[in-house]
Amino acid sequence: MSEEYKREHVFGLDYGTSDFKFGPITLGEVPEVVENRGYFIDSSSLMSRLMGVRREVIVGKDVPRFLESREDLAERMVYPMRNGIIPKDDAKAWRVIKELTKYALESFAPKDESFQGFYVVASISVVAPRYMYEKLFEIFKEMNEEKVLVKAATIIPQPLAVAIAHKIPTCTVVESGHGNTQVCPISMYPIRNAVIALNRGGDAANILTAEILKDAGYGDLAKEESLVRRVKEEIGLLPKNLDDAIRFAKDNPDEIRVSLKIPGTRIKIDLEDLSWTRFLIGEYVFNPGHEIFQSYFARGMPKPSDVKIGDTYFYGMMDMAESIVTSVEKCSIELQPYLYSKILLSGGNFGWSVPKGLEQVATTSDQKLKSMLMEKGVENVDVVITGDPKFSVWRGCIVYGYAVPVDYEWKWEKLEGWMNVA
Amino acid sequence: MAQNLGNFRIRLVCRLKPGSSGVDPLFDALRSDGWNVDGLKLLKGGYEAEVLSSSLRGDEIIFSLKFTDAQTLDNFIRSAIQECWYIDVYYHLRAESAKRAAETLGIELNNRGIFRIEEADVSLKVESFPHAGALTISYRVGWREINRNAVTKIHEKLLETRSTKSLLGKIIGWMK
Repeated sequence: MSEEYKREHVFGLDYGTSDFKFGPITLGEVPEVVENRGYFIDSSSLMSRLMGVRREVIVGKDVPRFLESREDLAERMVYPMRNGIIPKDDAKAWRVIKELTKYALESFAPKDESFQGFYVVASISVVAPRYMYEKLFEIFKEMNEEKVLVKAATIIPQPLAVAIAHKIPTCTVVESGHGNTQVCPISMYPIRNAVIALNRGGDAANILTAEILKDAGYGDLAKEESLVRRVKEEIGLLPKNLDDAIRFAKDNPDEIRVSLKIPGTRIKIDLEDLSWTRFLIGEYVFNPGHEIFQSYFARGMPKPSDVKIGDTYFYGMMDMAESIVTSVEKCSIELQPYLYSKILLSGGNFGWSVPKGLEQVATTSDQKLKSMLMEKGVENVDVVITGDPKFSVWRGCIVYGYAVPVDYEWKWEKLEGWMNVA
Repeated sequence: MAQNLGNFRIRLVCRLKPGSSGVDPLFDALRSDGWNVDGLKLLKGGYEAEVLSSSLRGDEIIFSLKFTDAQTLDNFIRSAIQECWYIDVYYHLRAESAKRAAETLGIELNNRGIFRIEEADVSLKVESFPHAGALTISYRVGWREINRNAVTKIHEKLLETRSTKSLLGKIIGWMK
């Protein structure tokens, strides 16, 4: 198989905690995105038989068409990568991953006879245990049962993919998705024993947003996760300094007030005199330890807890700057200045923007983190948000797949190279 | 002169001449065309290109162009070809850009597949991805294509589809 064939058939798969980004190199700069979830149909129900629904699991853009009641949603909807690690024996989660992988590859597999499978580059959490690599390779092999979809495959950690996409060999990557955050120093390879994982990502801010919605009288809507996420993304703000921002909001209520209409529905959300809480949403991502959140915890909002999954500790309440300092300080002193001098922020959880008129009190993720690090005494920091942070992992997959020669075989000791599966 | 590329992206894959001594001669050739090479970024009077990736073998390099100006593209390729065996030009089009290009090239964007189309005496490979509303058009450039001015002709053909929809087309679109 030639390099030229590979060049046109590299396929990136980014198994994010919330979104699954996928597509071949020929898609250009932006992958396809579907939610990383699967809906298990009640195959015993009369209606599903009457309607001729033969599939057991629905993934991709079709999912909303099959949803049943809200109660069923919680029971039947499976988000397999919630915290980046799938338990070995979680058959349902692996089933969803298999269906999503198939969905992605079949969406783009050319029909012509010259097609002999994609060179698949998959990206998973840096804390993913070895069995996840083995299981994924197994899935790639199974993709070829009916028709060859995967010629060869490789798997890389998400932070490394980000560094590859930006061609920065020495840096600290903070990849924050829906379910967790990975802080990973990189010096050519990820420095695995310095990785810090947070049990907190976009979902933590969703939980807070749901509480805010309840307080504002929209308790019924707070149960719908996708709606809550939308509210968070559209009205949430990241404050420069939370106390100053709240003061500003209370002094200038009209400037901060916003209403959100959900297209195609009659739903209109207006936080009215609780509009100042918009700033809490962003702050919570970076610093859940701020005293203001205690009142939410006291009323029963779950606190991001420290958990151990496999061999990895996921910290719940550690603030974002502290996690970077802790991670970098696990590396050699000589390397530390270089790791601080290029911090790459990647993932949808860093996509905070500053609306016009709120420049005085709202900020972006890079500026927020820079000031938090300076408060901790870290100097000469350069924090950069990757362009289109949601897609930088996928882009790294494509660049990696293009660069690694077809004859470079997979090595378990280094976790690199191509595993031939066709 | 920063350009809003929207759904219109161009990538160039330059295959270096066999036995060439890496990418430096290629960058030198681009410098002689006025490009300032700064790390992975290339700048020339407000136009920008970026080195997207290079093969580990060091025999291929991908540029992502951040401009659509026909003359600048032609000059870039003319300079680069001096150090390349050939250059593969890829157009990645999405949404409206993809629809219009498909219309101009006479293919149906809703049919997934690979099509071969002759344009300016060059065989274009057109790959459609209805699922993503995307179209990839690619062709290979050597001295033959350069001498026939194929790069500019093809580029203008594809660009033309972005801006100069016929008056009749606009009226029909409006009536729909």
